[in-house]
Amino acid sequence: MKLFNLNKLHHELDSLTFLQVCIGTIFLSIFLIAPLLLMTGQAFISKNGINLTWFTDLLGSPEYVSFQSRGGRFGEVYNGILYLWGFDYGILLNSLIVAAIVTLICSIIGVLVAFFVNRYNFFGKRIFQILLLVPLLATPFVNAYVIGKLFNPRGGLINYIFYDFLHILPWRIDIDGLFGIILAQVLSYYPIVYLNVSAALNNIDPSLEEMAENLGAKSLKLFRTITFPLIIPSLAAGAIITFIFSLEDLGATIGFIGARANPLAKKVVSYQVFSSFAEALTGGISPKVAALAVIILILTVSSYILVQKYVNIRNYTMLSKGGRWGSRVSVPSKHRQSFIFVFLLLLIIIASMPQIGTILLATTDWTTSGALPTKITGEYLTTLWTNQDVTRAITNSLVYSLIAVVIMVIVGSSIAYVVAKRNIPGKGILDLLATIPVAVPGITLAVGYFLLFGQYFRGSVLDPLKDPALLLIIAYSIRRLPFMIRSVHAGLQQIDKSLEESSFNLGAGRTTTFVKIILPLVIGHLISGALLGFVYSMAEVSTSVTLGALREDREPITFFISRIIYGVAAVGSVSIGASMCMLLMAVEIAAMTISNYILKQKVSYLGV
Amino acid sequence: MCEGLDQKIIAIAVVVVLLLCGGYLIFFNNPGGSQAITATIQGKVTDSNGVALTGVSVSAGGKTSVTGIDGLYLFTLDKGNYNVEAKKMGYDTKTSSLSAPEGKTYVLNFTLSLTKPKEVILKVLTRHSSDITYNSKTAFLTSEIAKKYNIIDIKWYGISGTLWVDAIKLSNDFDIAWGGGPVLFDVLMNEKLLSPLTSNEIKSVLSQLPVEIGGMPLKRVKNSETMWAGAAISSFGFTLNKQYLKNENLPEPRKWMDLASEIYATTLPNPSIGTADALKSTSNTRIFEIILQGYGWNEGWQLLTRMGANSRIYDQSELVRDAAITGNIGIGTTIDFYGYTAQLENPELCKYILPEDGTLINPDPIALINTSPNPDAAQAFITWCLSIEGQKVWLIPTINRMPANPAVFNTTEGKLRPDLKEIYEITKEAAVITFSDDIATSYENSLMNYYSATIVRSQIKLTDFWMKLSSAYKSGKITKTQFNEFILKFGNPQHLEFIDPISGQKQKFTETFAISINSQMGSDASFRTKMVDAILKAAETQYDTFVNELKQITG
Repeated sequence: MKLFNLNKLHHELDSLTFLQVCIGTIFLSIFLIAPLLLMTGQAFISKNGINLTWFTDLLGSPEYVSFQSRGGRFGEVYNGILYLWGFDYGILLNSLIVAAIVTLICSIIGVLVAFFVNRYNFFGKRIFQILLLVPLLATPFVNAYVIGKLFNPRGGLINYIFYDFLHILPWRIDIDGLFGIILAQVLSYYPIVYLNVSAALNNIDPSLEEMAENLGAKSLKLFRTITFPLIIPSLAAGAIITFIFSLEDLGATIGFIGARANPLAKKVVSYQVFSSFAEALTGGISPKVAALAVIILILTVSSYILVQKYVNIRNYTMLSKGGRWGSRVSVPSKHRQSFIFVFLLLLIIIASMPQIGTILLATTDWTTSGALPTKITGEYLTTLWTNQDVTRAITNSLVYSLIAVVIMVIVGSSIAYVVAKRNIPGKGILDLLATIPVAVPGITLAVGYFLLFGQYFRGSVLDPLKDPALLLIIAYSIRRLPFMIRSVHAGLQQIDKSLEESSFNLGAGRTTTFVKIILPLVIGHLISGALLGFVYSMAEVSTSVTLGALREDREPITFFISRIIYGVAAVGSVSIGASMCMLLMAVEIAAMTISNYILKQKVSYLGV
Repeated sequence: MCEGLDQKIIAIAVVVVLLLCGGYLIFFNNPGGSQAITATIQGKVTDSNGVALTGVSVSAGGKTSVTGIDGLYLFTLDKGNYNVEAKKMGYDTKTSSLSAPEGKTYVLNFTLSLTKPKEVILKVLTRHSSDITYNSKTAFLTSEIAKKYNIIDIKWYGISGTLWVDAIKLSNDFDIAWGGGPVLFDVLMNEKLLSPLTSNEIKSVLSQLPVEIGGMPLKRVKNSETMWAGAAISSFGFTLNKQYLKNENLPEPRKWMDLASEIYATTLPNPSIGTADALKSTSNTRIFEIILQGYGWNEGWQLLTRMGANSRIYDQSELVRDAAITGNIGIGTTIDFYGYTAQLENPELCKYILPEDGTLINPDPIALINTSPNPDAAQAFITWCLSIEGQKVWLIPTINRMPANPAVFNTTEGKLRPDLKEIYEITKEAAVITFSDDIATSYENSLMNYYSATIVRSQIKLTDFWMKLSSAYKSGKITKTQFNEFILKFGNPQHLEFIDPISGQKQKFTETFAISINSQMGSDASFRTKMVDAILKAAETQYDTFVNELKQITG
């Protein structure tokens, strides 16, 4: 077998395709591969040359990996306060444990909710379907602040209601540390699993379940032997995204540490990398931190690739081609209905607390008032257009996100087209490269950018110390590129080859065909991808709070919020941060609505 | 469709070509005409007041004439169309077009106006918050001195202090550095990045400042030149949340020493005190340096360790202030103006305390960076900041800083802030320790990292031991003598041996050792990582050992 078919290559590689391949490859090489390679290299260099010193140091030190608890509290009561913090098993293990627990709980909740919503009819289902997605509205930093405000043993709302007011609890509770992080993450990430599993449930060929029923399988057995195996690929896809998001999450961590300075909350990888970023600016980045980032990178990327392979092999939910089936919906007994209703209601109330809390913070005096707000005020919302620091941050983010979207559209549509429609040798690598940013923690990318462009592009437009704006734009477009590509790819797959062929037969070249036939047909997906890319860019945290911190007049909205929640700004300005989160939420709702309208169906929001 | 597109492109191309040709004809075509008939061009050049200007060179068609004392010029040219240019240093150059179609005399007069000083935008590196920068910019840009130097804008660069040296060298056009503490400015001075303050205006305003306050000089003078001047002053102490202390039945502390007391361990694992990580807060690093110099190296570290065990350790000093205001903690170690702001924000609840066992009064400097493209304009801004007008910014209720120039209290705005004036008087009289910046900077990097290793990163074990020790003492399970034996060892660098990763030998973190590794701790990331890891390991082992020893006593 010939490894490299030159004739075929020649045939496939016309000028447009060549251009598209070039755009994709060059962009990804410079802004994804090079910085990550450089960072990886850094981690292997010690005084004695190239070796594994830093890795063995790290894996051998109990501060990072410890198989017995190094302290912490869970379930202990002191002075009438019940402490729920979790235990310290070393920074690296803590992160993995937190991510694993978050993924597990999210998976259970996600599957349950998806099953209830897609298989049962019950009172208020339509509204629940919408409200279940509320946690997806990003409220970076403010969410953990709200949780801190809820669970603060002194004057926290939960303790106020259940201990001081209702006297239900025998103690006050102090939720903090790793347990607090887990709670905050579960509440914001379960919709990822829910959405993925919902899509799978809708796509299961009903005849499969009907056959099983005819053969006598019922309820739990039917679910266990037929339905569940069929949704496993989607579940795996949602779970791995949750796992990665949890590992790289800074919002919950920083929020908890900012409000409560709990020593245990500091013992996770994302915070360690983030916190050593400041050090990195002076004495050079600690190679140990680079090693830590590399370990996490290897873990996320490899697990991501494995899951992707697995999902591709096992994706047999749609046995026959064709449209959607009427889903198998039943009306459960009153008993069950009320159980489902109460379960979902509680879940939504608890999970939407960050969003509700954000709105409360933005519109009332809750920041300074204690357990309950005392008056409604518009003074914080007006800062969105009156306070020049706030408007500058908003404008910066708008500009960055818009330019990032343009880059995403150009690079994303190029790569998606080549991958979906062309048959270039090595296109698999391009595809992989373009989807990997999902699995690259933002802080890792930020460290890589800092090393590469801060050292070797000193004084140029790409030097983050001189002006981080351009790098932020590029970081946004790289990080959100996979979502764009997935969206366009989905559209391209629906276009039959015969449409292109007819165009060629009528004498149009590839460029004309691409511009006149393909683009109009995927424009909906393109716009929807662009909208989501825009929203994600606006709410991007990891690179924004690291690179964005390098110059005040270039700071994006999320860094501004972190500065407020995390200190620096004047007292009481948490409410201003909450107002900005409200703005983000509004943008997100608008984008999701428009995108749903354009595609006339629920967008498969996240996934592999 | 496709042909339509092509036609459009062709049409556009044709239009572009026509435009290019037209442009060429208009701008570059030489307006020749017939030769050999000469025209005379003459005129007078005056300034905007009508006074004749001498020494103006007037030129056209390759010929030049210079005006005499009467401001007159004259030359002959071939007839044709010309652009006549009048030029003199210090005046805006003027050009007039002249058409001289015939061989006669044409008169062309010029009025030249003085060149305005060029518009200046100052680039200022600052650690000040946006409240301060916004208010001072607004006030300054409308001031007379800003107009005199034609300063039209100030751009603030809120870059982290550790980056200043790099940023100045890299950008090479910063004018001013403002705020961030004397240590940072001494670093800039030693890196030879500052220019002395020399303008007459500055010298006159500098002479109005007090020479020193609380024993600290307000200016840094080197070779009899002023390298930086304090624009504000600050002290270090703690901010109380009285409500919190009352609820928890805790006494109000009066000294640094009090913060290390086992009394404040009663609320653990919920700490009552807040402080900030030395690696991340320059103001708290300064507080730790004050304690180390006030109590001496070993006792100072013991105090810091117990205080750390009693504390929530925040990442930023501002968070300590906010936690004190919201009542997450009862006591926060803060720089003075955070305390005043908290006090002003919530007078019944918050109170700033100047510790009786000694604080330090620090000037907050402003300086001229030697890369400034406009040193005169930059010095004008510095002059303004130190002047009574500029000092008013500190009195704004959201800012609350101690002015360097106390004369500001005599202004209308100053009379509105008797509270600040009172604090100023108290600050002047505060118990001040003998403090050496040189000693502090000689071990600063080592201090920050030792603090991080023995207190921040090992805090779970640290607090756990301290909680057990103080509760054993409180409940009478151990005697005062036994308690004091632990106290003697706990946090004492004399009792903590670690393996120096470089020499492989046992080592104690003495002051001499801290000074010897200081510069490498700052610049060498690998070295720092290894050293901190070694100390951390020793500290954690020690805390575990203490817990076991305690267990053996209490059973």
